[in-house]
Amino acid sequence: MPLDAQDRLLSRDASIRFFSTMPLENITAVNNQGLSVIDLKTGVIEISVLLKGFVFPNALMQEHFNENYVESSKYPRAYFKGTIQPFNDIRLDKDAVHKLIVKGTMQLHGKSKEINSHAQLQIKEGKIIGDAVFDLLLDDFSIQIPKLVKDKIAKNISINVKAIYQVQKNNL
Amino acid sequence: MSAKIFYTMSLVMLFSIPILAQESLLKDLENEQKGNNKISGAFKSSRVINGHSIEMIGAGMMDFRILHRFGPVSQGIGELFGLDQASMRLGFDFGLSKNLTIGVGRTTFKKELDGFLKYRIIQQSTGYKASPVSLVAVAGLSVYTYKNPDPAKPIPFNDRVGSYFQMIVGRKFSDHFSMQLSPTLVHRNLVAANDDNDIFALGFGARYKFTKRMAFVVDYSYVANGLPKTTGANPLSIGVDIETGGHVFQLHFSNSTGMNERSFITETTNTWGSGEVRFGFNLSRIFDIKKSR
Repeated sequence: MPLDAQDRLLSRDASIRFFSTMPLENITAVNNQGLSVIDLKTGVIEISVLLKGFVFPNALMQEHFNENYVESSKYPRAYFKGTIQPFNDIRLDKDAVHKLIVKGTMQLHGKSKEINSHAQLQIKEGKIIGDAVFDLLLDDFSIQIPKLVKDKIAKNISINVKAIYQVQKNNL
Repeated sequence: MSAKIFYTMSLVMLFSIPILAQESLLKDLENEQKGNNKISGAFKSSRVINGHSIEMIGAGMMDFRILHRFGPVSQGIGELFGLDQASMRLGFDFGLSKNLTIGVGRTTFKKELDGFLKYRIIQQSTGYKASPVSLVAVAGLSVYTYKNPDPAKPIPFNDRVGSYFQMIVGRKFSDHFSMQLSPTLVHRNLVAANDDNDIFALGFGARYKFTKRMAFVVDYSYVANGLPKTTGANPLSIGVDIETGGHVFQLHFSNSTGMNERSFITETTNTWGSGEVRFGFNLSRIFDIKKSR
């Protein structure tokens, strides 16, 4: 059976924000060009973001992020693929807030890690808004923080994803 | 359309969709998103060693630079291999925008003040409207302020002034290797009888990054005309860049002591061949000075 176009939700401007919270310094960076797709038939969700697109409070942090930490010229994207549960009762024509569990694999810096997170999908007057907050441990992705700056960069980075989805018009 | 073609196509679609679904649903969009991708980090610092690099410090950033140049290593242990003699330059560079930097500094030698304007015309990039190189223009001015020991013969202001104009073409060839060329014109208002006022030099800079935070760097200027061949020498500096978060240390050996373009291009008289090599370092500390959002 061919896929029904109605079953796919797509976002090309998902906002992906991360926070490193430390007593000495808080760092936050944002990328508003995340890609995300949800297949409501299968419950599959994907999120993909170009690491070079993260904007930092200053140019030096941004350079260090790309050059020293995520090595974005070698590993240009962060990519998540997983499933949402439950997905069977999501109806786009009915306003509701769906509490979901997202399970899947995060790929970053050449490493993969299983992730579970709470998320929600809100349907309101035809708008479809997805939200998720979860943490990543830099150690899991072999991103090393040198001793000199270990008081300024958290080992535990909090990630916040917010995506406004459109119903996909035509099949990819 | 014949039934056969229709049948074949339906079959292809039927089978290809589940196969594609195994992969990323976002592949096409990811490819579409590549866009224009700016290449940065060709050099660790805004200077190769002495000369400007194709790197900019970024909008709203201030680079506080402390430079030291010591005496010849060949002086031996009595002078602690040159470390007993030091000249220095203190400087502040300001990133007015991501492509425009202004900087000022003062050097102990001749008590010289210098300032420059550095503008990146093109940044190396890939994808849409790609450019294989970065192109940067620099214009600078220097004024020395030391007084003539004979108070009866003060040096007129005009005679103290020098200037330079430079175009830098550079490319980051890989994560490790970057190279640049910088044709430079240095003008000095007052020169010795046998020297030319205008000096043309071709700068060459390269780095090889061997760990994430360390790199070998070479900075050389070929002085093409204008200096007496018997005393003038081409400045060659070889060193290591060490980056530690907000600091960059540039440790090097060089035959030059000058710390601005007029000085290291026109006043280098020592040569590597005769062993008149000196130790020196640049310390760069970057501060974020724009208002916090």
